[in-house]
Amino acid sequence: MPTMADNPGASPVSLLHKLLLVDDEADGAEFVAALLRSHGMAVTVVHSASEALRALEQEPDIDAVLSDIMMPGMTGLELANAIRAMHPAVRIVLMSGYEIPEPLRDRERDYPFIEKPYKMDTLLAALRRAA
Amino acid sequence: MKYALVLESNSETCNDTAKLVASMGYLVTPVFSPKKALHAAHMIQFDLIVTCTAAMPGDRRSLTGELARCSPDALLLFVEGPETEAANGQFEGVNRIIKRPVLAENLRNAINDGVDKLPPPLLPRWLTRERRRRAVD
Repeated sequence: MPTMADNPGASPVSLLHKLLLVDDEADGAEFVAALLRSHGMAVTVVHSASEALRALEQEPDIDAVLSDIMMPGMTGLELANAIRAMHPAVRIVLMSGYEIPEPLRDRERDYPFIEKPYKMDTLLAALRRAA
Repeated sequence: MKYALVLESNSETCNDTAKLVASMGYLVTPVFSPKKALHAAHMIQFDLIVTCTAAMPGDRRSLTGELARCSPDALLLFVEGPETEAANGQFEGVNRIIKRPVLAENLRNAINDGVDKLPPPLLPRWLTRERRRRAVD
C-alpha cells in the first residue's frame, strides 16, 4: 500500500532497532505495526505471550516490546516480568483497552502504560520513555 | 505527523482516496470493511476519518458514532454516494459530507474547513470498560 510508505517526515524512536508487538487482536496489531513501520521501525507481530518469548529467543535484535495486558493465558504483565528477568535490556510498554484490575495497578507502574485507543504520538513517547 | 483512517468498501476507490489523503500529509490506514475500521479505531486515535458508510452490517450501532467516540478529536468526513443520499446527511458524529467522486480540491476544502470549525465533541466519551464492551469482535 503506497500510502504508508515513503514517509520522509517520520522520525523513528531514537535507538530503537526492532519492536515486538504482542496483541491477541490481530487486525489492530497489524494496523499499528504498519504505522510504526512507516516511522522506520522494524516490527514483529505476535498474538500471545508464549509466541513473544519465542520471538525474543529467535530474534536477539528485538530491543523493545509493546504488549497488550489482557490476553488469554499469560497476561501482558506476566510477560513483562518474564522479559525483564530474561532480557533486562529490552524496553517494555504495556497497553490495554480494559480497566486495569486493582491488583495489577501498582505493578503496572513498573512499565510505561498507555490506554487504547491511543494517539500514535503517545505510543512513540511511551517507547522513548521506556528506555 | 497526522494519522487518517480511510474506509471504502471498494479497494480501488479506497486506494485512490487513501492516496489523496496521504498527499495532504497524513499517514493513512486504509480499510475495506466497517469491522476492520472499528478494529483500527479501537487501537489508534486518528486525526482524520474518511468513511463511505455509516452503518455496520448486523449491528444496530452507528459506525460513525463509534468511530467518533474512539477518536474524539478527529475530523470525520462522510463520502456520500447515491446509495446514502436518502439519509439526508443525518449521520452521528459526522463533521462534513463530501460528494463522490472524491476530488483533491473537495477533500482539501473539507479538511481545511472542518479542522478550522471543528466543534468540541458532543458525543459522550464512554468509559474504557464500556467502550471495549461495545467493540465488534
